[in-house]
Amino acid sequence: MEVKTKDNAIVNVKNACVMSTSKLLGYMNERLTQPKIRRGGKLLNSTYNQAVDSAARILAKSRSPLFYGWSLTSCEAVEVGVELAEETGGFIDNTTTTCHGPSILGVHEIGESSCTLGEVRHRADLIVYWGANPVHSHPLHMSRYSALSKGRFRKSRSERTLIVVDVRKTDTAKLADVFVQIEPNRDYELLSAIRAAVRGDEIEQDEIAGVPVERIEEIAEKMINCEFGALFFGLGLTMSSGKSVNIDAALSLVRELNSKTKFVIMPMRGHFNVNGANNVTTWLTGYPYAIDFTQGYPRYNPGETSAVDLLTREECDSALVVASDPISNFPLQAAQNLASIPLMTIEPHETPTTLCSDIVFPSTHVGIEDTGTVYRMDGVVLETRKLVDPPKGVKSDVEILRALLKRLRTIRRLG
Amino acid sequence: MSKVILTLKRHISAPVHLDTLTPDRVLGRKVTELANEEVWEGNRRIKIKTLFNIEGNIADKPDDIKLEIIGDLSRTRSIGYKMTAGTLNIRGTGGLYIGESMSGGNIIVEGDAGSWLGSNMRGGTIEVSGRTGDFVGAASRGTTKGMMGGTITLKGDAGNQVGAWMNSGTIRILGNSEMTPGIHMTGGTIHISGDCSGRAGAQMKGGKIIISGNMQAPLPSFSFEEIREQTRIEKESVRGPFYVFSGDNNEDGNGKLFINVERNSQLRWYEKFLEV
Amino acid sequence: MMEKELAVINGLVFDPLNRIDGEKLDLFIRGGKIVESVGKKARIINASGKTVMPGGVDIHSHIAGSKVNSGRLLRPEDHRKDVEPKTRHTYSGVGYSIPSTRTTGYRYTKMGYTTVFEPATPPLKARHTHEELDATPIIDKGCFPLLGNNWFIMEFLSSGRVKECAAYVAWMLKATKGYAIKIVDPGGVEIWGWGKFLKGLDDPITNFNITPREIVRGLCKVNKILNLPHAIHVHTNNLGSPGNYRTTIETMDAVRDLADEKKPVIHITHVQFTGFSGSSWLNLGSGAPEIADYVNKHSHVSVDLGQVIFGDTTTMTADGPFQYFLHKMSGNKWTNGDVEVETGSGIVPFRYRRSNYVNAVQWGIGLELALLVKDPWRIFMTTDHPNGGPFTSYPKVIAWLMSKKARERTLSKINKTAKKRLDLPSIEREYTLGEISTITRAAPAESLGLKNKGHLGLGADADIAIYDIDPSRTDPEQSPGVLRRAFKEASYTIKTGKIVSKEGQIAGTSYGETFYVESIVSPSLEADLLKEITPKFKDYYTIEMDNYPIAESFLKNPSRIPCKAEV
Repeated sequence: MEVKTKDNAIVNVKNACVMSTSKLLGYMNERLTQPKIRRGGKLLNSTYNQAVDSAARILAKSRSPLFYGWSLTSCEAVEVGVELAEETGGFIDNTTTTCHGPSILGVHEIGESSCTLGEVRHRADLIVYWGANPVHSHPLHMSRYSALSKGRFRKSRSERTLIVVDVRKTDTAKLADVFVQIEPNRDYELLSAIRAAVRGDEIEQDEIAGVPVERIEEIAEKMINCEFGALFFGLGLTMSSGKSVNIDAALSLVRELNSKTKFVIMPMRGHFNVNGANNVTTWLTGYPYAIDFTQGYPRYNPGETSAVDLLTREECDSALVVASDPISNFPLQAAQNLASIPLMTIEPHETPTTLCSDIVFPSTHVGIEDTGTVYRMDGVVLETRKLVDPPKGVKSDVEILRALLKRLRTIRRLG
Repeated sequence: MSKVILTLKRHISAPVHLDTLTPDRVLGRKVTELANEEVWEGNRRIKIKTLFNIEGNIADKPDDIKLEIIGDLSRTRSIGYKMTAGTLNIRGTGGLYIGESMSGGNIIVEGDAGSWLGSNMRGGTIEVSGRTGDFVGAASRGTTKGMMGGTITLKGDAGNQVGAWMNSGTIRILGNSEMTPGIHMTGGTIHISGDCSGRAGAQMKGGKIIISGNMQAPLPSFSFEEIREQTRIEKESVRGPFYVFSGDNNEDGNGKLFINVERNSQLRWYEKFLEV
Repeated sequence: MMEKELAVINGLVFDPLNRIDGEKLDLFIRGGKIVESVGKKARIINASGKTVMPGGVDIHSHIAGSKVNSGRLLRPEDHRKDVEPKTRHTYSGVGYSIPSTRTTGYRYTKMGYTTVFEPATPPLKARHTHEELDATPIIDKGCFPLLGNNWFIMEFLSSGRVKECAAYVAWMLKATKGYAIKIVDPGGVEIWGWGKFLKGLDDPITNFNITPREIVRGLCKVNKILNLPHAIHVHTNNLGSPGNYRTTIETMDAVRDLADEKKPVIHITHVQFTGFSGSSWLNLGSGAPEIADYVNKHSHVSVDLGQVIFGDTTTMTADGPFQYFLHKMSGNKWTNGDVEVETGSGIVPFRYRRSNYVNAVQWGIGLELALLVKDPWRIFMTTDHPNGGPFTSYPKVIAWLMSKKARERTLSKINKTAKKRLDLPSIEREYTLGEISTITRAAPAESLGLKNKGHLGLGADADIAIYDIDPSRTDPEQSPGVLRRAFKEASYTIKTGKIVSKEGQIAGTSYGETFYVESIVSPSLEADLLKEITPKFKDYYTIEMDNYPIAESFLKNPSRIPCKAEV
C-alpha cells in the first residue's frame, strides 16, 4: 500500500482496497477535536483534564462498569483497557461479541485446524467461502490469498476450485466454479449432510437445505479429493440460526476432512484489530472477550458476561466505549439501556454513540495518526505506521486511557 | 419442617452472586450469621441482610433444611451452587446458573429461570414452573462432560442447547424446546412433551431424546430404525407411537431419537424404509 | 522498594559453577550484581539454616506466543479451576496448565526461578511472542525462532550454500530478536503442510531437495560459523513413536563429526518424548538406558528431560503432525496452526494416568534418563511445560530425583506392567542439592552462554533463590515432602538485587530483560544476502519485507548479546 501525504494530510492512496482507501482519505470527516461533557442535557466543550476527572469519578464509584469496543484501536490500548477494567472491577468486552463470538465458542469445544494466509496462497487447490462475500467485505482477500492469488504450488486460477455457499448469488458467488444456494438458516443441516457424505454414510433425505443429495455428494467428493482445502466463513454462517452451533459443525467437518486430506478453516475477521483485542485479553486474562473482573479475578461466559446480555438485563451502571459505535449496531434494547447509563466514549469521529454520550474524548486514528500493533485475521502481527499528525490537542487512546487510570488511582487513594 | 425465608427488599441493579446460599451450607448456623454473610453485588461486597429480610429457623439435619427466596431474582447468579441436600424454593424469577453443579437436594422455581439452570448437575432435582433460558443441564464452556445425574423438570418452555454434552440424568420439558437439545450428548434422557424447533441430538454419541410433539425433521446424519409403540424413562413408560432414529452417525453415535408419529405427518415418508 | 545494598548471610550456598557445594557463605549485592562487600546500611537477610542457590534458569518452557495463546483460547475449562485474584501488588490471572502471562511470571518467581526461555517461536509471529514476554513480569526471558522447516534455509542447504545460510540465520535472529536456532521435526512440519507424515532422518522432503539429516547438519555448521552461545536446540523427528530412541541417537550421531572440545554442538530437548523403545504401544519400553549410554560416551551432546507428571495438562508443540496423531489417539479436541514458509503448531489437551501403561512408562523414562546420565552439566530439568506437566510441578521432579523413597511411593501406584518394564526401581542414585542446582541453574545457564546467570560469583547478576531446606538437619532424600514444599515456594527470591518474592508473596512488579543474540557477519555477505532474498520474500510471504524485522525499540527491556561470525 502506498500513501501520499502533503502538509500533514493524506492526499492519495494506492494499492489499497476500497475500504482502506475510504478510511484513509476520509479520516478527517466529522472529526471530533474537543472533549465534551453533557451539562443540562447538552454536550458542551470542556477541557481535557475536566473530562478525565469527571470520567474517573464515574468509574470510581461504579458497581459494574462496562468497557466496550477495542477493535478499532491498537493492542497497546487494549492492554491499558484490561488494566482499567481490572482496577475498577468491571466488565471488558469487544466487538467479537456481536460478530465472530460464535466462532470462538465453537473453538472451545472442537479446536481449529488452521494456518496463516500464505499457506492457503501457496497450497490450496480448493477454496470454499461460506456465508462470506469477500468481494465486498475483504476486497483484496481473493487476489492476495485465495482463488485469484499466485502461490508457489498453485500458479494460476485454473489450478484452484472455488466453491461459494450463500443464500443468494452474491458478487463472490458469480466468480465461483460451484455456487451452492442454501435455504436461509439451514447451514447446520447442510454442514451435517456434507460431513455425512465425506464419511461415506448414507443420507436418507433427497434434499437438505434446498440442495439435492447428489450435489452434496459431489461437493464432498471435491473436498476429499483436493490436496489442500480452505474453508473461509463469514457472518452469513455465524449469524445464521444456531450461531456457535454452526461453527461447531464447520470446525467438526474440517477436522473430519483432515483424516482424508489437508483442510483448514478460518473466520473472515473484520473490524480492523478485533483479533488483536482477542489476543491481548487472552494472554492477560485467559479469555478472548466478555470478561468479568467484578470479583477480582477473570470470569468468562458469553451469554452472562457479554456486553449485549449485560446491557439487556440492565446490569451495568456505567460504560466506557473505545473505538466503536455500539449505539448503531447493538440490538435496540441493549442500545437503549446503554444510552440511559453514564456513557463515556473515546472516538475519532462523531457517531450515534458519541451523540448519546455524557463524556466524549476525541482520539487519534491508529495507523494514521498513531502507531500501534494490530493482528491480521490469521494472527500475523503488524506494526502500523504514523502517517500524519493528529489535529491539535487530540490524544491517542493509550494516552487517554492511561490518564484515566492514573486519575482513578489518585481518587481512590485520596478516598 | 422449619424453614428460612429470604424476601428481597430492594431492587438489584448489578449482578449478585448467591453461590453460598444453599440449604447444606447454612446447616448448624444461626439466621443472624446468615444475615451478616457477605456476597458480591457487582464489584462490592454486601451483607445479605441489605438485600433480604430474613426470618425463620434452620433445621438440624441437612435434608430438613428449607430455604425460601422470594422476589425478582433475575439478576442473581448461582443460587443453589454445589448444593448437596435440603430444599431451595425460589418464588419469583430465578437468575442464571440455578443449581449449578448440585449433587443432592431439591430446587423449586415458581417462576421463570435464567440460562445454565442445573449446569454440570450431579444429582438432586430441579423443577421450574415457568420458562427457562438456554443451556439447561449443560456443560461449562470447553468441558466435554456435562450433567452427570439428577432430574430436571421444566413445566414451561426451554431455550437452546438443553442438555449440551449431557452424560447422565433426566431432563423433562413439559412445554416446547428451542434448537439443538442434546447436542454432543453421551448419555441420559431428554423428554420434550411439546415441540422442538429442530436439530435434536446434534453430534450426540449416546443417550435418548424423546419428542412427543413436533420436530420438522431429524438431522441428515441420523438413520431411521423402526416404529415403536412406547419407550421408557427409567421405570416410567412414555406412550408413542414413535419414529425411532439412531445417530449422530457423524460421531459414530449410538444415541436414539424418538419422534411422535401422530404429531409428525411430514415424516411419514420414512415408513417406506419399513417395507423391505 | 529499592534496596541499594543487600546481604544474604549464613546461608548454605550451592553454586556449582564456582565449586561451592553447601558451604556456609555470605553474599553481597549492590547495583543488581554480586559484589565483594557492602556497607553498614545494607539490608540483611539472614539465611541461616537455609539453602541458597542462583535463581533458576528454565531452558525450555512454552510460556508465550501464538501457539500458547491458541492453547489458552482452546481451554477455558483449564482456567476456571485455577484463578489468581488481584492483590495490592499483583495483577489477577488464571493458572494451571496454560497460565496467563502475569501469573506465569509470578509463579516462576515464587519458585525461585528468574530466567525462562520460550523455545518455539514462529518467526513470522515473533512480534506476538515478544508482546507476551513483555507482559510476563519479573523474570528475564528470551525466545528461540523455529528454523528447521524454513524454505530459505532448506534451499540454501540443499545447494550446499552454508555460508549464505549462516548469513540468513544471522539476519533471522536479528529480525526476530531471537536467541538460538530451534529445530522441530526437521522437514516433517513442511510435509505436514500437505497433511502428510515423515518417517526418518533420510526421508527426502517433497519439493525441497533435502533430508532432515541434512537440515540438522547444515544448521549445526551454521551455528558454529555464527559462534552462537547455545547449541542447535533440537526436537527430533518421530516424536511420540514407539522405537524413536533410535531416531534420537541417530540425530545426535548425525553431527558427531562436527563436535569441538569446547561445548556441546547439539542439544536434544525433552528427550523423554523421543526415548521410547519397543515397536508398538503394547510393548513400549524405555530407551533411556541407550540414550544415556550415548550421552555418557559423547560430550558433544546435551539433553533436557521433558518429565511427565500424572494429571491433566495441555500438549503444545510446533510438531503439527505429532499433535494431530495425539488428537486421533486420545479423541481430545485439537487446534492446528501452520505458518507459511516456516513451521507449524498443534495443541491437544491430555491427561497422563498412573494406571495407563504407556503414560507410566513415559514417567519412568524421564527419571531414568536423569539418573543414568552421569554428567549433570549436560542434562537439564524440564517438563517441557506444559507438555509433560505444568512448570509448577518442578518440586515433584526434584523430589523424585533426590529421593528414592519418593520414587518408590509413586512406583507403587503406577501400572504394574509398566513398573516391571522399567529399570527405575533398581536405580539407587539420588541427586544431591548441588546436582539439582546444576541441572536447574548452573548447567542451563552455561549451555545458553549466559555468563552472568546461574552462578553467584563476583559480577554475576544478583538472581538468588533461598529455600527452606537445611541439609545439616534433615536428610532431604528421606523427606520428599520437605523438598517439595521448599522448592514450591522460595523463602526469598531476589531478582537483579531486589527482593521480588517472600514466602510466596510477590513484592512489587518489575519487568526483566529480553535476551537476544546478534551474530555479526561481514557487511558484504549481508548485502548479498538481502539482495538475494528480497525478491523471494515477496513471492513467499504475505507481508512486506520491510514489516518483517522487529526493531529493538519494540521490546521493553532488550539485552543484546553480540557475537562475531566466522563469515
